[in-house]
Amino acid sequence: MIRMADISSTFGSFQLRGINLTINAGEYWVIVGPSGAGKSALLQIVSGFKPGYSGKLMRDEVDLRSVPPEKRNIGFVFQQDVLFPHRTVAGNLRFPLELRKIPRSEIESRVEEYATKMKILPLLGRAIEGLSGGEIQRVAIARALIFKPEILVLDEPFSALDHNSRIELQEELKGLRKTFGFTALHVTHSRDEAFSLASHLAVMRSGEIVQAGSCEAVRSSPASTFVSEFLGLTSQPIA
Amino acid sequence: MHVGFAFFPIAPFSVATNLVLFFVNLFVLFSAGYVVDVSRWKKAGAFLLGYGLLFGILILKFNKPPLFVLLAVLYVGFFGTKQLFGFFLIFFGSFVLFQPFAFESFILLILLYVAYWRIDKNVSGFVRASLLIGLAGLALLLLPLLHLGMQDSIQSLLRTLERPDVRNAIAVSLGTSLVSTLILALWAIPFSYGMARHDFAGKRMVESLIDMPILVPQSVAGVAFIVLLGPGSILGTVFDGYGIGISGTYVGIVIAQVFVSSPFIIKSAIAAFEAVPVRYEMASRTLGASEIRTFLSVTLPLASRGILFGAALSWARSISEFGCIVLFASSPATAPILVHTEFLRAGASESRPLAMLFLIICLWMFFLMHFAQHLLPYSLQRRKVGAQP
Repeated sequence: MIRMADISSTFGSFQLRGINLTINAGEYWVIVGPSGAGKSALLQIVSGFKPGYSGKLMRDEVDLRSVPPEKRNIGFVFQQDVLFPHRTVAGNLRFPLELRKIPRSEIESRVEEYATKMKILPLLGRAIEGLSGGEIQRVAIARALIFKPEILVLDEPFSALDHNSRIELQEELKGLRKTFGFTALHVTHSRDEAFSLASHLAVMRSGEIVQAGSCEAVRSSPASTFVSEFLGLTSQPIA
Repeated sequence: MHVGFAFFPIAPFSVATNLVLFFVNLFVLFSAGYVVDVSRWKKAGAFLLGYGLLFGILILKFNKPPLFVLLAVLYVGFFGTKQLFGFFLIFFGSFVLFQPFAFESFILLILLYVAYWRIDKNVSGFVRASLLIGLAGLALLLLPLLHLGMQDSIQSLLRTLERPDVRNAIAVSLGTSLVSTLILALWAIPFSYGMARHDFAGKRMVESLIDMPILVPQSVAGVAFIVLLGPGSILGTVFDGYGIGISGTYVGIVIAQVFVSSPFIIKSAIAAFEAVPVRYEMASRTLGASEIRTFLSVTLPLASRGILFGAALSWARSISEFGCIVLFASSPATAPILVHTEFLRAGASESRPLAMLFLIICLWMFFLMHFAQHLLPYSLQRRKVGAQP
C-alpha cells in the first residue's frame, strides 16, 4: 500500500498542494488532468527524484522520505524513450535482474516469459536504435515489470504513439494486469485512456487533486463542473 | 605534320621522338572518337584545348617528350570520366607545375578531391564552398608536416631509431604521457560529470579556469612550476626531504604534462556527459541501480567515446609538450626536448629524422586511440546531422 498524506511541494513557480491518496495493492490508479496540473510532478515525489516536500509518503508502515529511488521498488515507465541504447532489447530486460543478482538461468527464463507476454520475443537480439515507438514502449513496460516491482508507475506512456498503437498497448496492459495483478499509478491527460485502464481515478487541477475514488464513483458522481467537463461526463456535479 | 617535321631543315624532334609522337597522336585521335562525342563541339573543343595545353607545357616549355607521351595517353583515357579526369589534373598539376612539392601537393589535393566527391550532391552551394575552403585551409596547415615526412628515407629513420638516446627519449615520452593521461582520466571523469550534471553559482568561472592552461604561455607555466616546486622552493625542499625529486625528474614531466593537457579531456568529457540525457539515469535508478552503479553502467558507457576522444587529445598534447617541460623538467629528455637539443647542436638537417620519427610515432598512437573509439559501445556523440535528437 502506498499512502500520500498532505503532500505539498514547490517546483519553480508551480506548487503541488495537499495531495492525499491511498493506493492499495492490486488497484490501478489513473491520475488524469490537463497539462500543467502537476501529475508528473507528483510522480517525481513518488519515485524519489524530488526529495523536498512536506507531508508524508508511506509504503505500508515505511516512510519513503529517505529511501533512494533504487530502493523504492517502483517500476517506472517514462513518457520518452529511456531504453539504454548501448544494450540490446534483451540486455535492457536483463538489467534490473542483474542488479538484483538473480541467477543467470532465472534471468533468461524471466526475459523470455516477459518478452512473450509483451510480444517482443523476436526483438530480443535487436539494438534499441531502429525500434518503432510502439516497440520501445513494449520493451519499456516489460523492463519495468520484469523485476516484479511493488507498484508500476507510468508517466504518459502512450502520448508519443499513434492511435492504433495506443489502443493496442492499453489492451495489452490490461491483459498483463490480469496475469500479474500488479498495482499501478498511471498519469495521463487522456480521459479515454483513463476510463479504459483505471480501477480508480484521481482528477488533478492546478497542483491539487480535485476528486479521487473508484472509477464508477467518479463517473457517477463528479465533484465539480470541471471534473464533469474534463471527463466528458453527462452526469452533473453533486453540489 | 609529322611527315613535314621529318623533312624540316632543322627538325624540332629526333626521328625516333617524331615517330613516337606520331603514334601517340594517332592513338589520341583514334581514342578521342570513343571518349569524346565529336558531334558535341564544346566538349570536343575542350578536349583539343586540353591536349594543346599539354603539348605546349610539356614539349614547348619543359621539353619533356616522354612525360608528354605518358600524360597524353592518360589524358585521353581519363577525359570522359569526371573523377578520373580530376585525378589526372591533380597528377599533372602536382608533378609538372608544383615541383619540388610534387608528393606533398599530390597527397593533399587528392584528399581534397576525394572529400569533394564524398560531399552529398544535395548539399547547398554555400555549405559545399565553406567545406571546401575549410578543407583547403586544413591541407595548407598540414603541408609542413607532410613536407617533413617526405624528407627522409626509411633507412635513415631506422638508423635514427637505433640510437640509444633516441630510444630513451621516445620511451620517456610514451611512458610519461600515458601516466599523465591516466592521472587526468581519474581526475577529469568524475569532475566533468559533476560539472555536466549540476549548475551552480560560479560555474562559468570554473569553466574559464579549466581553459587556463590553454591561455597561459607554456614558458610561463614552466616558470610557475619552478617557483612552486623547483629546487630551493618551499615545496621542492619538503619533497626533497622525503626523497621525492620533482623538478628535472619523471614526476616533473608528468606534472607539466597534466597541467598543459587537462583542458582537452575535461572539456570533451563535460560535453560527452551533457549529451547523455538525465532520463537514462533516472530510468536506471528506478530499475534498482545506485547512483554509482548508474554512472558506471549507463552514463559512462554512453559518454565513453567522447571521453576517449578527449583522452586522445590530452595524450597528444602531453606527448608533444615542450615549453613547460624544457624549463621545469628538461631531464630525462623527452622526445620534443631531444629534437630541440639536436637542432641546437647540429641544425635542422640533423634533427629532421628524429622529428620525423617522432611524428610517425605520435600519429600512429593517435590513430590507434581514434580507432579504439569505434570498439566502444553505442555512443550518443556525433549523431548524424538531421537525425532525431
